[in-house]
Amino acid sequence: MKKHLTFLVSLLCIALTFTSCSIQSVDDYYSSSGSSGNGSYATVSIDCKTILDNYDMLDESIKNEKYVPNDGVILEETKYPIDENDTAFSILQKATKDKRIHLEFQGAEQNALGSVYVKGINHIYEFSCGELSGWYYSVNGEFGNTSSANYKLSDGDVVRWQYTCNLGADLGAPNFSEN
Amino acid sequence: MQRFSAFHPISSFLYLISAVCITMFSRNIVIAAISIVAAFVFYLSLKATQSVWIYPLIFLLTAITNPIFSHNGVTVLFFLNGNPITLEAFVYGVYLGAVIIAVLLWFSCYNTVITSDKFLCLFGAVMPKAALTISMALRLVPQFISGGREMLEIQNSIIPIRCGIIKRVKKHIAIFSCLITRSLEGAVEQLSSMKARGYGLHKRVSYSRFRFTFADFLLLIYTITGFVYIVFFSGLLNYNYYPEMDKINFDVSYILCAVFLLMPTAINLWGEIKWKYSISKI
Amino acid sequence: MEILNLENLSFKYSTGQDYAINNINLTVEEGEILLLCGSSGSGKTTLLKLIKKELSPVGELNGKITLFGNPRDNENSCDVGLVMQNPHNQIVTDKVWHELAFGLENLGIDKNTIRLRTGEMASFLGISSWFDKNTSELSGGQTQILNLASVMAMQPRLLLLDEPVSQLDPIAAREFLNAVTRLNRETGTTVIMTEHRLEDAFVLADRVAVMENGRIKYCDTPKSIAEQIIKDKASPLFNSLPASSRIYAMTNGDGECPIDVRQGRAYLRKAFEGKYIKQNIEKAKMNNRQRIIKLHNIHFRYQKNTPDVLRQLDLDVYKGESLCILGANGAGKSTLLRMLSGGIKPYIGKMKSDNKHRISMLPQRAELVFLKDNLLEDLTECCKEIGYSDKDGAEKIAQLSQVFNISNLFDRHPYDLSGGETQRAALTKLMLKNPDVLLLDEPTKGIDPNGKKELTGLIKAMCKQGVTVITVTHDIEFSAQTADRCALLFNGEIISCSAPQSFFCGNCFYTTDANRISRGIIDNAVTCEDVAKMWKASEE
Repeated sequence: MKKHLTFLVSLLCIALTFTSCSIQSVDDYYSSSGSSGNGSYATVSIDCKTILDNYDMLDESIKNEKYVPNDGVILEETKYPIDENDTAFSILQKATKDKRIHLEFQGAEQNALGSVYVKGINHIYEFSCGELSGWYYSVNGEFGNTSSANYKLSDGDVVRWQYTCNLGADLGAPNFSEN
Repeated sequence: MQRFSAFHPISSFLYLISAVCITMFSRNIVIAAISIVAAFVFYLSLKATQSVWIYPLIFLLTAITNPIFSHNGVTVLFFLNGNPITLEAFVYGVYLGAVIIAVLLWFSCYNTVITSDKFLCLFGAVMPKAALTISMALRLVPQFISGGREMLEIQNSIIPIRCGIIKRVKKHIAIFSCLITRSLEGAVEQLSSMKARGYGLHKRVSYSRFRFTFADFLLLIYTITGFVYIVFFSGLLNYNYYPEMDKINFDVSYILCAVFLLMPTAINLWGEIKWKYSISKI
Repeated sequence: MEILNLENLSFKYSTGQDYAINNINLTVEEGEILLLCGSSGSGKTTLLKLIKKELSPVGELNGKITLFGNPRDNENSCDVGLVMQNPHNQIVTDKVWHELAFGLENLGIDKNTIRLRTGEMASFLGISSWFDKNTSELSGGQTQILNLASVMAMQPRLLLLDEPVSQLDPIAAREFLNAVTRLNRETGTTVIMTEHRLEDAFVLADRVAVMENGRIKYCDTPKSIAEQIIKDKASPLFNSLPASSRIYAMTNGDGECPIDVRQGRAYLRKAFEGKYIKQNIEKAKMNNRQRIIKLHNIHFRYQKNTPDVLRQLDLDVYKGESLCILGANGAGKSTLLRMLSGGIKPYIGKMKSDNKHRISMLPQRAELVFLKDNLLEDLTECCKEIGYSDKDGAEKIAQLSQVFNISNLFDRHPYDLSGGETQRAALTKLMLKNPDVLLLDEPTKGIDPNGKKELTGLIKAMCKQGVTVITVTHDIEFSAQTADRCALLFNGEIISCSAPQSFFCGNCFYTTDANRISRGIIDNAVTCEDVAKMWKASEE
């Protein structure tokens, strides 16, 4: 009897986990764009130029033009419509979906703090280029010191996602922890 | 006929450890697969008794959990909560599971092949005093446990230990302290028995029943060359899963690796065949 | 050649008042077996330890000990081997082969020699079949043989045995002594052995020395020693003598004293010349007694795919009887005891008992019954746990301690008592809860003959009070004297069960020495006392 009970409970747990997950196919994911915007726009760009100076430190597995382009630009400055809910993170998500660029992050929207940590873009991960490397963002040239998902955008903002090899020092960012 | 178990502990120990090391150092899924197969057939040829039914479960668990937590990889299968579930992460999970199980299987074989005698022989060569201590402990522990059981049964028959956790614990503590007293008393007698047999008079040697023969020497050479070749020269151990899996090209080294890892099974089978043959002649 | 020479040897422990060894002169020749006997506390063990340099106790030593012609302290230690009383405590390592090699390892001998010597010793003493086993799996008898083998592997010239068989059952004891005899006869090793159970050791000794209060009282051939002990009516060693010698004494024999069965028969035949005496067999009268346990068609096995340990076993137990269950090792005796005590249940058959009765069991190692450091404290604690009030408990203890004669032991640590004392104290503790059935597991192990006699008396007294006593034992003489009924367990089955007289007279080999000696001369005599009684009757 006890055995049956444990079995049932564990089955229930698994079922619950599955229902709380949303599963999307690849095409569904990339075609689902965010809000259509309220007439405002912001630009977003992604680059990893700092890697070009530290190429020998880069992981062997991504020493490839596919992941690190020759000029270090993964996404040119691109304009996207935004609304009042859009953040520095959501515009990144929008852009990567649009251009089918790989993105991995931790902390989905449900996160209590609403914070999100970007682990990797275009298969370039934190620590991929030395121990001090990772992704930073800046809005209008100012490096944000809150989580990118908490930084609300307004019309005309310029968001740059940049890869650093030295905790932001090589980007000219003040010294605070990432994102 | 478990011929491999008849080898000198130094040879069989080194062989098993190098098999484990190759499995652990390699990041190549093919080598993991070869290792798991080799370990499993060796396990079967040993007729070992440890149960392995839990191993597939471990394997499944690692294979499934890895893609949930790792989203790297170019071949996206689907998205889960906005994060990609990729083929690469899944394959990496399979590889991890395979390595874990292969290592576990090798250690099951290790437990069957390297008995406490053999372990002590290895240990005694390096640290004779410590080896004697271990040998004494190996005798004392089961003795202590069975003594405790006997005492518990006897005490229970005199006055059944009634319910109530405090009473129970009290009785157990009393039995335990009694056992300690008894084994201390036994230790005094044991010491005089050791002294009576000349303990501490001369420099002690560590005797083991195993002889190092030419076959043991061959196995040792085989192990060392095989290990050095596979680890340092074959170039098979490095393999990338992220962001894109390396292509697997056929390489003669894979065959050499398989030969290396299947050796103990072959030795056991050879022994079996020879035995059957020698019986059929009678 | 003189192996050992003691000259005016005296020894006093640094803690003691009196001389434990008092002015002893003794010479042992090469190839001799010398038996040292005497009641406990007579200094036997101290004397042995003094001969072995490494173990010689701290104290004041006077006189000279000469070993192999040299003073003791110059001698090579491995020339004297020692086997002590408790088999299990002498084992050092976990494997049998390693134990055999242990002494040789200590001497720093090279591997091939160790291989040869251990192999040689193992095949000589017939232990090759368990050469690979763990030492913890061996029985007491096997362990003691292993101790002997691992000492002999060092090839000592003098072998000291300190009560080597006192912890063994009679069959294992005989096996051990046979091994010693073989070693002596075939390798010429000199043996000095202490023992208080003389029946078996007497026959194989070349000389016997009787010790009393640290002195050697007599030292002569076994025959003349037996005669001396018989003459010395009050000697505590009388009950230790072989059955033939005791019969000789009880029938006021003259001429040479017999010491084994063959000589005993010859003597008895002469003494009873022309007479043929038959004693009537008394049937065990159990019909009018209340049956309290009935085992019917019992089958039991420990694991699903192991053979049955008990099969088709039928046994009735009656109130107030003394039942002895005899049988060889592995016949299922301990299993049967566990079943009677309720520890295990049969998978076929039924154990019926009339009412819920209380059962107590005395384990083989009686000291395991105690938990406290002080005997009285332990007994008081036990009373409390049973639920007696303080006053009732004290009364109960006082009453029982008188019966079991342990009042003078109250302040002692239970582990410091002698074999017989421990047993009596343990019985006291077991009787505190007024059991209806008392199970005794090998109670004669480690007990000297006088202790056995006392135990017989206690068992009979308990039976009179209506307690049923079931004894499992190897000791035939003991069961002949103690039992109302004897049962023979063979291969998990009770193959014979009757009163001791008819039980033993029906057997040819599995019977008492007295029966073997008197068979065909006096029929149906089982104990020495029976023979003496018949003799008296025929005299009149």
